[in-house]
Amino acid sequence: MKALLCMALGGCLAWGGLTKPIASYDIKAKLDGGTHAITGSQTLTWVNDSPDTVGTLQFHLYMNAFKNSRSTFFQESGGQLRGDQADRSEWGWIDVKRMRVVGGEDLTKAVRFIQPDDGNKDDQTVIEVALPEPVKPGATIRVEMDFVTKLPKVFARTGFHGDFHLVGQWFPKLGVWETKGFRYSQQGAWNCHQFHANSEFYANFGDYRVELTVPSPMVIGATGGEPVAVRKNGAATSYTFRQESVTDFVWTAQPTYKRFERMFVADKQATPAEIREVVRVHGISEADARLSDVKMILLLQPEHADQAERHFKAAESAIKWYGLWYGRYPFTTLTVVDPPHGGGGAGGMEYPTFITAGTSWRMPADMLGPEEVTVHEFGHQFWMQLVATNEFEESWLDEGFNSYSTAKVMQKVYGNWPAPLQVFGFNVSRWLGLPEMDDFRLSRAANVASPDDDSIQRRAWEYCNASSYSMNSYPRTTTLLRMLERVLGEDSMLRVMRTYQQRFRFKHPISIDFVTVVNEVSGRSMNWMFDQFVFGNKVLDYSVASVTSDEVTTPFGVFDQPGGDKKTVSSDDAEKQDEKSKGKKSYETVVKIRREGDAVAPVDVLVRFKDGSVEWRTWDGQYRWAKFTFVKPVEVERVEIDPQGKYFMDVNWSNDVWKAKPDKAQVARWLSTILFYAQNAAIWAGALL
Amino acid sequence: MKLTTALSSAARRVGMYKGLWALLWFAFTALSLIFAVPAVRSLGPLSRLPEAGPKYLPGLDLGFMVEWAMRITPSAPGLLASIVLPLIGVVVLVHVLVSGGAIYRLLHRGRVLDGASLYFWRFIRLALISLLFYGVVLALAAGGLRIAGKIWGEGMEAKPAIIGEWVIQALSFLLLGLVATIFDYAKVRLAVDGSRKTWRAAFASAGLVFKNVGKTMGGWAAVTAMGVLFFVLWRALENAVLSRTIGAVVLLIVAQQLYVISRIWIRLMYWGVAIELDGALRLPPEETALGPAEVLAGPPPMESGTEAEPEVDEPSGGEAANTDQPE
Repeated sequence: MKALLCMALGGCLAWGGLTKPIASYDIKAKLDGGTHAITGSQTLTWVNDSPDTVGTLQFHLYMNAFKNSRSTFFQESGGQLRGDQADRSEWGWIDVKRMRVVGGEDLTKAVRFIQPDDGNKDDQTVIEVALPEPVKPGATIRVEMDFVTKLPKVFARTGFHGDFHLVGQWFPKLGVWETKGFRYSQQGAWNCHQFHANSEFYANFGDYRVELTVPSPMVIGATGGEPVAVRKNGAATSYTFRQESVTDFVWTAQPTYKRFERMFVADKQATPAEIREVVRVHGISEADARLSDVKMILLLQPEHADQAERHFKAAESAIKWYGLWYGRYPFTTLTVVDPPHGGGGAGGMEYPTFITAGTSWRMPADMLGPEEVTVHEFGHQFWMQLVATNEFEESWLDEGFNSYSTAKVMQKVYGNWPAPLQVFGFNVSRWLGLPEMDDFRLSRAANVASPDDDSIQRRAWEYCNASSYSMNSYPRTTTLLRMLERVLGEDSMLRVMRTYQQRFRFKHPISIDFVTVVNEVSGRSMNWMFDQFVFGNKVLDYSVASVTSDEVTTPFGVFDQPGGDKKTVSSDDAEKQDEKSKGKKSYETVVKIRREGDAVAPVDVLVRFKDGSVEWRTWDGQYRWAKFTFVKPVEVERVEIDPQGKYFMDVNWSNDVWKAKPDKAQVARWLSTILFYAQNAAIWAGALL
Repeated sequence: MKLTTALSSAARRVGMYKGLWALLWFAFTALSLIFAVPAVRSLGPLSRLPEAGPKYLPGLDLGFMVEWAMRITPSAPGLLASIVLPLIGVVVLVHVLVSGGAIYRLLHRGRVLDGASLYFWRFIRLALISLLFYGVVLALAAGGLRIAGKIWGEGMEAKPAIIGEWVIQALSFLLLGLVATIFDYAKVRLAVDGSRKTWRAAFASAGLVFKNVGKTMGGWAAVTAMGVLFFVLWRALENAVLSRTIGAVVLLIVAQQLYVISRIWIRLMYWGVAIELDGALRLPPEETALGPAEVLAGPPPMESGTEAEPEVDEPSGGEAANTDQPE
């Protein structure tokens, strides 16, 4: 019997997940539905997978960001995030009551708050504890902790609203030890940032076993999907969840959730033709291209129950296309949670195998907000739950990558979408004839609006302001990746992204890792793109500066002849000569291209002539301008910079084209449209006077 | 007077002055060109884009419009100060002149320019007074939304809050219509009475509208419904024209301007209905610009600027010196 138990224990301790666990947690927690407080105890198992001897441990206490107005988070955000205002009567916090090494000393008194980023002594989102015995390279330490977490009213991704609870960033979470040479580390040290208004998270992979005790009427959802054990105990019920190879654990509880389940059946969702296409593009086997089945669990608010199908379709589309493009989703479950009205601050967030979406009552079918957020948050499973970049320091690697991927899925599955203009529960924008949208064009427009506030790559709290953080992390990166796709070609871009995903799954890459993959897979150096836009903040703008097409005439004046003689041609003679050769004219066309911005990029120039002939030139953009001269029997008709539309980052496309004759029909249509809108606006205005 | 009678009389009255439609169309178009021409000029370089270029969708797509706006408006306050505010001022002035001239024409068969100048300052004052009334409506709407938020905003369900918002929005729309109707009647009252007492006209018209809300707002609702019908017809036609050839563009322009004329007709109908119902619902004023009626053996002598008021149920008839014949 003893032998059997040891074998079972050994089996449990063995590495059974998708990656080696570095920071694993065994947590027991109990929710008090009345006070919205969680009493918990956890055992952290940390493997020192580095060559360093580590004498301290550092933990995130994220929930203390919502403790008072002196926290770094509160000071940077002013108490609001993503349009949500913190409720000043319901703060959130976390207290570590006790900490000790398993089988060793009590460390409680050795715990102290530190502020590694800004020195704000009032910020309590990071603690450090000195270990009585350092952890040697390759060794494991197990630490027990008792803690109490008080949830705030839903704000900044976590909290409660009524009897809805979204419990995220709720337990003491170990930082990441980075040895010298790992990521940007100059020496072995903890990477454990304070919780900033603009930052998200970063952690090691590990295995989680979490037992949650909640009031029995609660419907519960968590990382890991289905509980492995359920135990009723009077008025409370305990659920045990397990999930291996993840960086976080989140859960939710609400008594009135409507729970829906559906299987994503891989063989039914991805057609053989689509699998073959993946095989062709990536040169991999069909087995590697195939997707795997996923159990989708949907927890919807009762008043949104009629939108279950929309959420499932969006989740299926995301699992399918992210999987086909970047590699199958490796987990067996996906939980999608819909926060209630008033709990929107918990919406639009990603955790391992668990996402929060967001919708509204009577959301019109052609207003694709719920779909977009579901696809986007699922996409984060790939960009930063699997490829676990540091969101504090390199937000573009997850938000921007995911925004780009989301835009591709939305375009593929839903096409362009109408402006969200709702009147009494109906979207009227198509009916009014308003223009439609697509994510790539909107991202580009955002880039045009503020192309150079900051470099794309900065630590989250070091951007000029919150708007710059958003701009650079999301739409500017989307625009950049779209440009990269256009420059490399779609197949090449797919190979780049899949290689990057597969190579760095369950790892912690940095920006330069992606650049290396781009260069390697494409076979070209694209450093110029990343140096100027990611690590710099240059602006790309080329223009057709001038175009002339002048008839070539007979020259006049004094000309040297062979033998030393000189010949004089008068202007009259020259004119007579021109008259004689009227039917054989030729034209000298001079095209000047100018680099208006400070970003340098090689650019194609197309010159089309009136006889239909075409000349292509390529300019390296190094100097401020370039000139191309052509002598042809016809005049120029059109000059176009970047005719294939590769340079999405060019902030002004309107100066990229010169045409001899304007498109009159287009001008007339624009004038009539704008005039018409203006007339109607003028008449409307009069209705009220 | 029945509402249907008022509507048909108003339609006949408005139908007699097609020149007025043309004049109003001209005024609104000229006003709109102040904005439209510079806007299209700023788009000028884009006219040289190839028709099916990969960069732009074949219309004015939203991404392109945002880019264009970002390029031409470096600062919102600057835009507001240099373009939007002056444009609003011009719009107000044109509307005051247009309404004065139109009502004078519809009511007295007078010349549009005479009416425009005669009523200019009265209608300016009326427009300023209307801001007070609209302010009350907006305050009620804001208050209603706040109350709805307090009652339902903290709940777990959005449905009651959303329905509450819809109800408030619908009521606000009706209240805005009510205020617009009040000031249509106030304009007519000033024109009928020849009075300069704008505050009295505003409040008296409010009283009239409230006392006869069925007919007055019924008239507003009927004309508004006609406007919605024209809009639906216009949208159906616009959706059917997808081509971008010169011929299709010309057809679209013609259809657009026909729709604008229909909007002008709707605008005139609001005033026409007000004229018809004002006469029917009000007691005659103690003193009128025309003076007390005389019983004469024959037709009254014609004097410049005055003419007999037409019978309520019959189209306006008779000649008037110094005025144009009905068109």
